Amino acid sequence: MKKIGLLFSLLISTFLLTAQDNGNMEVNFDFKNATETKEIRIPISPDLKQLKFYFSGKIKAGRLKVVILDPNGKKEGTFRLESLTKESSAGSEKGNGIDTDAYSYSIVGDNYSSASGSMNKDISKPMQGQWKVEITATKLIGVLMSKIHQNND
Amino acid sequence: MKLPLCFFIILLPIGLTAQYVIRGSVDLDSTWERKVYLSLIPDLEDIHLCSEQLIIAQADIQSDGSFTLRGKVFPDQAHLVRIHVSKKGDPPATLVIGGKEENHCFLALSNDSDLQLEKATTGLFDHFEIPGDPRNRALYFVDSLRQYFTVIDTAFSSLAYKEMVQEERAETLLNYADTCRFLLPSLYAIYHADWGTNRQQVQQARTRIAERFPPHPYLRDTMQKADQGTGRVSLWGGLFLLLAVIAAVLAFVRRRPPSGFKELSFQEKKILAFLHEGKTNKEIAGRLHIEPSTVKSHVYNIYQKLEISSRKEVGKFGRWIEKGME
Repeated sequence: MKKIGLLFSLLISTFLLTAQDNGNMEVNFDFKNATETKEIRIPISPDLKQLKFYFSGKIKAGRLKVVILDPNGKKEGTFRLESLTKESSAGSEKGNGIDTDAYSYSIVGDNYSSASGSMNKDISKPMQGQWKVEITATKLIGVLMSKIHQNND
Repeated sequence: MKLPLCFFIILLPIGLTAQYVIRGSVDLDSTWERKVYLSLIPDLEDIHLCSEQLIIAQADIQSDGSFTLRGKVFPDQAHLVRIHVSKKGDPPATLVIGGKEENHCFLALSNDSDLQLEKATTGLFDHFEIPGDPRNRALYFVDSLRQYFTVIDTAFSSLAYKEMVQEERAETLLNYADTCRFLLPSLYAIYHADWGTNRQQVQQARTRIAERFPPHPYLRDTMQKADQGTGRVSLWGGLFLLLAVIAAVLAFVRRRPPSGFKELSFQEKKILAFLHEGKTNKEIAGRLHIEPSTVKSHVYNIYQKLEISSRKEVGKFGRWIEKGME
């Protein structure tokens, strides 16, 4: 029994090490009326040839913001999805923190619906250091899929 | 007098009915909805914001890929707008950033715009041209600059090299913003010059733009900050001025002899000086070779004029006594 446990642990660690060696990361988020900030940290070595980001989100309500930051804090990519509902915009002056006055020219009117978006970002010879992906959810109902790939070929 | 009025009457309805027209063409395969959407960008920070609330117009895409968007951008000033298409099954508010299926492009649009987008050479909207519209050509030039530096940036991975490219990129874009004669391309250039840690440089560039162009909603924050700054300057300036006035008044008051002092005769001033030295009436009378009763009379007058009631209070006029004796 002990041997099986040891073998299983060995297999798991091998798998994790392989995943780390490949530099691939896939994280999915399911937000259920969530207000939170998540951060993905990606340490980048000096000789990496390519860093690829892919994010795909679909939301029913609230706000989602994804920002890629290089080690200097420079925004390398950003995208935001927003969907106001009467419920989410009620109860405070600006609802989800979204300035509804800004949308006063919209043809959509009160019947707000979902939004979706994706972002592909390929960075050749990325700056060494700690890269970050900041994911901010505000009263969010929706999903986000993220894939980060480090390529040295 | 009647002629300008006629012009006004003729031009008024034209002004009221002015609307933009965007004609274009896009190559779509069967996975795409045959609709094109136009979103008004409320703020440059929202350039990559996707929300159905931003969509201000939509149009069908014909079988040959052509489309025409018409309408009125309700804000009077030109705004940045985004044209996009969505895949079948996706909501109208869909934004694809990067990759072969990037589904959007940005334009500068005002109510009197009549734009003809040439079909993109690659991708859906990539490398499109808008001949005859200098404002959009300037916008396109900013994009070209940005892409040029993105390519340069990929040459080496060293931190020093990347930082050098970032600085060069920011300087080039900010220089362009300072010299461009259109507001939107200038602001678009500043937006792309911002790498997060050069906020002060970017803010200064925005302030210069705010000084060069009429007020615009995209400059709202900058103008508010400038106003607050001016407000602060005014407040501190006002306070300084008030303090200066108070100091000047105090100095004037201190320099100026009390009104009663000016009313004293030469003899009374001399007696006051002796009083200040602590001399008695008898001593004063001896020094001035006058009767003590005369001194007493002078002292009474001095008290009346200076509105005092005792010798102790004479000390208050010490500095004027010394000056009066000079």
